[in-house]
Amino acid sequence: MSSSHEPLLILEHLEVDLRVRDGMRTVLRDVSLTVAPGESLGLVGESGSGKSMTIRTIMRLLPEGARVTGEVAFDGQRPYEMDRKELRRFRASDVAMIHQDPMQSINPMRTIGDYLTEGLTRVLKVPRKEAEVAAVAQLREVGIEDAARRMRQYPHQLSGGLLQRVTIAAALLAQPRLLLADEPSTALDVTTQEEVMAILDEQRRERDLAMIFVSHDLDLAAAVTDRISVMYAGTIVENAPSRDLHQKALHPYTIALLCARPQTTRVERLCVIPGRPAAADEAGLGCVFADRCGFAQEACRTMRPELRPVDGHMVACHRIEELERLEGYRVGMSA
Amino acid sequence: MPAESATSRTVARAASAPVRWLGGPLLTILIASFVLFMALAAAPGDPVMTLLGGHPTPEAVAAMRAKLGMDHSLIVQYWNWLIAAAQGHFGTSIIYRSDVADLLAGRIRITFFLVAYAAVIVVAVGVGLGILGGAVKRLGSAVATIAAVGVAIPAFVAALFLVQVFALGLGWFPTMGAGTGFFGHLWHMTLPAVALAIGAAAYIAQITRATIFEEQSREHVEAARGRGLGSVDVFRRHVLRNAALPIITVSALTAAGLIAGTVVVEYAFGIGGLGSLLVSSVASKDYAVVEAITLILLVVFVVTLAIIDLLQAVLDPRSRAARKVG
Amino acid sequence: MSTVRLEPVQRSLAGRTWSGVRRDPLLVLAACVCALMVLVVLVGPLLAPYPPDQTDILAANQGASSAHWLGTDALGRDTTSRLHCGARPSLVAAGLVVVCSTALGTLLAIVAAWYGGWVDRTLMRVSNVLFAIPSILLAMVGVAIVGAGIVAPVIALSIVYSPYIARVGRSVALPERRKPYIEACQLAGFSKTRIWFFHLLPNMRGILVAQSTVALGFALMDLAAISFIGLGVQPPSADWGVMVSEGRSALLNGQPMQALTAGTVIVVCVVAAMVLGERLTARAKGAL
Repeated sequence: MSSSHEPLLILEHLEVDLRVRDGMRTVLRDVSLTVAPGESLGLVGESGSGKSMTIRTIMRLLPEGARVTGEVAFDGQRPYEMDRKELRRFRASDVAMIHQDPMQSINPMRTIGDYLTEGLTRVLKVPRKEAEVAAVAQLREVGIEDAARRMRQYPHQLSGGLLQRVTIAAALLAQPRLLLADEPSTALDVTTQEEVMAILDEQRRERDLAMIFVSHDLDLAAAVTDRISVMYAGTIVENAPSRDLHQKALHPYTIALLCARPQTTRVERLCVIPGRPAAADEAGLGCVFADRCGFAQEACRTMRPELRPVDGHMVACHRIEELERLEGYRVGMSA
Repeated sequence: MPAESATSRTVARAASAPVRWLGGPLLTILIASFVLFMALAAAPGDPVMTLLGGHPTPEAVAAMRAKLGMDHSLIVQYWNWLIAAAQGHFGTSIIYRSDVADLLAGRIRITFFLVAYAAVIVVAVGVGLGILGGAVKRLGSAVATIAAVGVAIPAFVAALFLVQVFALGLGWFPTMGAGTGFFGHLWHMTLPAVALAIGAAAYIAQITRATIFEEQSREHVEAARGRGLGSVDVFRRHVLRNAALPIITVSALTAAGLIAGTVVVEYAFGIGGLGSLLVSSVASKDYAVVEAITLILLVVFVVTLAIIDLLQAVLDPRSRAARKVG
Repeated sequence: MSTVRLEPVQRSLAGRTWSGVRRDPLLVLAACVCALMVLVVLVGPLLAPYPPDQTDILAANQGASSAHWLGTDALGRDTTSRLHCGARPSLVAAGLVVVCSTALGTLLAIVAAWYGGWVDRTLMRVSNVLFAIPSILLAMVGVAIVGAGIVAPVIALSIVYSPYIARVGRSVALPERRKPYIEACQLAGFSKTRIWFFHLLPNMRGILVAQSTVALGFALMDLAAISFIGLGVQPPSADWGVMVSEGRSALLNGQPMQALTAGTVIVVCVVAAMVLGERLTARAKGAL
């Protein structure tokens, strides 16, 4: 992990509203995070928390009519101020996204080789032969022997695990500085998951790439990232180093998340968070988690807490100092 | 006939193994022609009596029956007819008193010209409008509206409106007839071809636009944009390319369907093709001609469908015999 | 103060199809035109200014006038009146086709979805053969056998349209058939026919009605075409297709009123039926 001087990516008070049939719907309420060069950040939350939306916002891949307020900066550039040509170059060579389901994100009617070389030849104007050689080499690096033959095959001829390796290869081909991985192993079966994650992690470290790793699985994220940001209802509620998070989660939601994981070693009752996950547009004026939080008070419902440094973490909670001192506040977390 | 989504119809015509591919159409032709023959045989009226006229003697009747091959059982008659037809012998027309095959010869060319002309219009205008409606957001609903109205215009109504405006009003085209020679045909059959094409072109426009929409919303299209490809590239390489197969399939199917529409259009424009002959034969109960023309149209239709099936199997990488590796 | 939003109450398939109809102006417009069609079928002849077969040779082939709003035909019959009266043969025959083909198609769909296996495969093969037969051709063969009139075309079209209804019905019936409540009915000892008509069918209703409405449009077009070529409704009946055919010579001689008004009426009715049917289909599918 390289030392960070200037952050590579800065998101500041990001708010995103999408156009729906009769108005606008908020999907990201207040997202602030930074990623240093070579650093791996986990973005963890339940469905509907806005994690996928966040990385799509970074690449400006939002549907028409979307409104974005706040700041998005990548290495001094501002994707939201780029013209079309600059944006295409930004997407092709600065950042790269790895999608969740490779069967859906690769065109079934074109060959693997076409998929890999397309970005290079059509956007970066690399000659085709060169691009093909690079693609074959990249495929070998992600562990696909027989790479030359695979280039000529079609997506339906490869298994899910192989296909996901292909998407990783494609992402790495353009030599980006930031990888955006959107739950890359969720669509795979368990044994393949491990393989794919191992390859992704290895390649990332080798090239010293920054990465945002989106997941709903806290443990998985903790294993491959340096820091983790926890999202709920379109807002970041806690930001902490991955190692720390297990032992010392601070925000009530994070604790509840950790607590709600099924244990394989101890037999005990799952603790349940009452209610259901809220979407960004359902939260009111105060803390987004106020409705379901056991510790919510009047101030929590009326004033939005900002992310503040507490004990080495960044936490968005009014009462965190009090709560920390409570007896048994961290009961139920794994050792 | 009621419309369905492009993909569902494409799936319905799923590729079959080569043997089944040949067997299906053959079986269809056999069954349909059998049903046709039997149905017409059950029709009232006796061709023998019609041909002989007056009060023929029993011997004359028997002789005529033998001559027409009607002294065999119906099944045998059917088979004889089918074999003869395959060799181009369609029997004799009661009304025209001549060989049916002779009657058909010149007319087949004319009908073929009309259908081909209309098919070109259908594909060019239909697919073109559909792509326009799918690619350019602002034109989308305009195209959809035009197409919705176009589908509802029957060929004969279109025919009369076209004649009124373009033939009588502006005088650009003749009001009827098929003309002679290639350019004569082209000039005479422009209005008929347009009348024939309108409904089908509108339908193709709808299907094309719907298919393009469907393909545009797929995840791999957004993924391609995310890799930095420009919108033209994305559209051409990922939307259009994927939409091509269903659109081609439906276009071919619709063009095949034009064959039935020639009946009405030829009648409306006084064109001497297979269609108008069929109409008059049905009206005058000239069964030999009816059987012949229906059989021809049926065979052409079924063969076209089989070719489309084959095309689909060849063009779709997913249906090529490829086992999952890996 | 934020509140958790309640999930909307699950309404029945039929309920979800028909609710919110008012918010769709296109559907309302199409529905109004269709209602008008039904009205004209019922009371059209009563509203006609003249008897439809009243001839008046002296007033033949006239254009619009105060006495005859839409002119007269070659025999001096009033076009407006004939249009009013022509609604009946055209729309009733089309309605018959729709009713028959829907009944047949629905039955095929239910049987195919219920038994599955070779029954399903065979029925699908048969319907594939039927798909290959153009509607007008079969109608013409029918006319060749039984003679001109509406009987043969109606029967022929009913046969040709049923596979389309059957396919749509089957796609809805198949998933329904697998649902637990159907199995519960079987375990409770309900007879097959009872399950088919009281449990399976109601859930197919929405989309079947929608597709039948579209089929009405096509039936109208095909029947009018068959009458146009002289093999359907016969003159002197005032059928719209017949009117277009009769108006053809007048048009060629400079008097297009009859042919074009009849043609326009046909197109308007077909558009209304198709648009209504397609809107209803979208709703039914969305509700699914």
